[in-house]
Amino acid sequence: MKGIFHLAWKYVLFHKLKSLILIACIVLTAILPIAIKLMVWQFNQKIVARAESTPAVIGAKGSDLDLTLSTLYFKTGSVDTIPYAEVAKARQDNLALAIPIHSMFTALNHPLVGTSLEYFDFRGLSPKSGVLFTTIGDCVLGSKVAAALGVGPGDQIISDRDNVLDLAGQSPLKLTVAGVLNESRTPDDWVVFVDLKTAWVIQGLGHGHQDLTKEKSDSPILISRDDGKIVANKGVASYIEITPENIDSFHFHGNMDDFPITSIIAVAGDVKNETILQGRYDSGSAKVQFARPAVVVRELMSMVFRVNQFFNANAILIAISTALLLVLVVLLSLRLRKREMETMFKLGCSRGTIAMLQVGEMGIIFGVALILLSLAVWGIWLISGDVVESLLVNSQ
Amino acid sequence: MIEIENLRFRYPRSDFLLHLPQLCVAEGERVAIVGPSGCGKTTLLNLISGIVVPDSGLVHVNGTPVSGMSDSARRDFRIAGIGMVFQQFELVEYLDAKENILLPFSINSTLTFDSSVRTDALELAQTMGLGQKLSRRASQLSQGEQQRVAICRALITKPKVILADEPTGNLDPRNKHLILDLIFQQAERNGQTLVVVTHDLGILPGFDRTIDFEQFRVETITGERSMSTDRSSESCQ
Repeated sequence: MKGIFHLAWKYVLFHKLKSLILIACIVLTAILPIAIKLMVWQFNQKIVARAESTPAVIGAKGSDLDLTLSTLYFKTGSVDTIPYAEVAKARQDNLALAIPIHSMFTALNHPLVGTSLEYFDFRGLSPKSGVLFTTIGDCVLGSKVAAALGVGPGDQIISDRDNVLDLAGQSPLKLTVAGVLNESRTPDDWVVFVDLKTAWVIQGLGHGHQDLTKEKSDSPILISRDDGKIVANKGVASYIEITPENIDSFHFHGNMDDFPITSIIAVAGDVKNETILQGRYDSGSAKVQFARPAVVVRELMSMVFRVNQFFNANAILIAISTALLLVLVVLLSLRLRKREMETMFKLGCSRGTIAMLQVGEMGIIFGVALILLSLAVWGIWLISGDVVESLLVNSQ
Repeated sequence: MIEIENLRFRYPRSDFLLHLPQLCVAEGERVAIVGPSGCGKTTLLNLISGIVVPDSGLVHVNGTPVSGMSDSARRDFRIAGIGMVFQQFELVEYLDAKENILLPFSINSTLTFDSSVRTDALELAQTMGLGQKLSRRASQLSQGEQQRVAICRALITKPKVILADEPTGNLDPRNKHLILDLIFQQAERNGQTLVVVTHDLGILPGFDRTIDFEQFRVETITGERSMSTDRSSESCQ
């Protein structure tokens, strides 16, 4: 056996190109369905875990899937907003803890999420370095964002413009990194968190600017000054950074209850409270909907698995065609090696041993392919979790 | 010693029939077999080595009844008792010279491979002038060198009988005599019986005896060839 294996090994080494092509055929045929399986499995694990850890979400009426994904993965622009007053409504009668989510902007291409400190308690997130945000203008980075941007507490990042061509639109705001969160291996790792008010400042609902009371009456930026009411033109310098020196100048125009948020995470104390809460939103005339992410995601996954069956059928067909190709290669190889086999037989080698030689060669090729495949699968396994989360969070 | 009695052999779906009433090659004898193509010279070697079995008759090699053995017994007998040399050398392209010499030990587990075999192989290769070329593949050797490797492969199991099918057929005149001398030397040194099939009449003087298939009377029944009894029925000494 040892001698035959040696011969098989020498044959495979001698015919490097042929062997590599066969190995590549096997690996490539197997890797795609395995990678898809792994990704779908990871996707299922991640999305189900995330959904099950989020009892209920409340948001604008429309697609409950969009609402769920927007709340769990902070997708921007996929759902209509609801007024902040809905948070108080959800909290009414202490039925549930209501955590606002404002997910409309990005910072350096990472989702920028306005929320309250309750969110961190709810998700079990704690800072690895620094602290959670303590004032407007602060931000807390998910671990992946901090690693990707190479920033930490005390550094500054800047929010993205929602439309670079609209110079009169929302202005970017410099944010001070207050802390970096521990890795949670959830979408929260990929997010820049700010206080809800900071998100509204970025949205242009609040701002800070130079002190107009100190302007002289002939200042070109003043339009009128009447009994303490000062009207200025657009020449007023607005702050793009919130600092201890200018924080007092920041203020909001309008009623905060009307300010927009994208959704609310509702954590009811028990099933009864949750049912009562759901009942409030079940009215056909309500402009707000209540959704259970676990239910929504299960429906989504059943659809994903149905689609996945097509991939499975495709993979089986590819595997069959590759197997036939391998058989063809072996048969052609046998024909080319007829004299070699005949010589071995004449020398005293049995037909069975010659067959073992062939099996040994294919065994080596399959063995090497299996090792490479295992390494590839291991590599995919290592990155699949992050890739799936990154895809879920960043596929804005 | 090789003894053949009343041998009849026919390939399946062929008109060719070899009929050999009697043939005897003494131990240590050097015999050349000549004759036109298709007269059954190579078939005779295949029958002696047990690659094919006769339809009837007996083939004895050193007292062993080859024709009566099972397939596996004939294989084991062949690899241990017969050294075979071919016209086209038939080296394995993906093995180097040393591995080709040791090939019988790789393909048949009844042979025991140990350090003495390795030493024998090196000595044999040295004797054949291959000492510096053992790590080269067949394609990196000249034709004369390839045939020397093939002879080493035939001799490494220390067989009692060497069967060579036109061993000089692919060689230039210089290499032809060199190879023949090496075969003769080795056969003589080890007391091996040598049967060589050849078309080359120029090499016949080196043999103890020449058997000419063409000179024998041929039976005419459906292309049947037969060695006449007057020349081939000699009794074995």
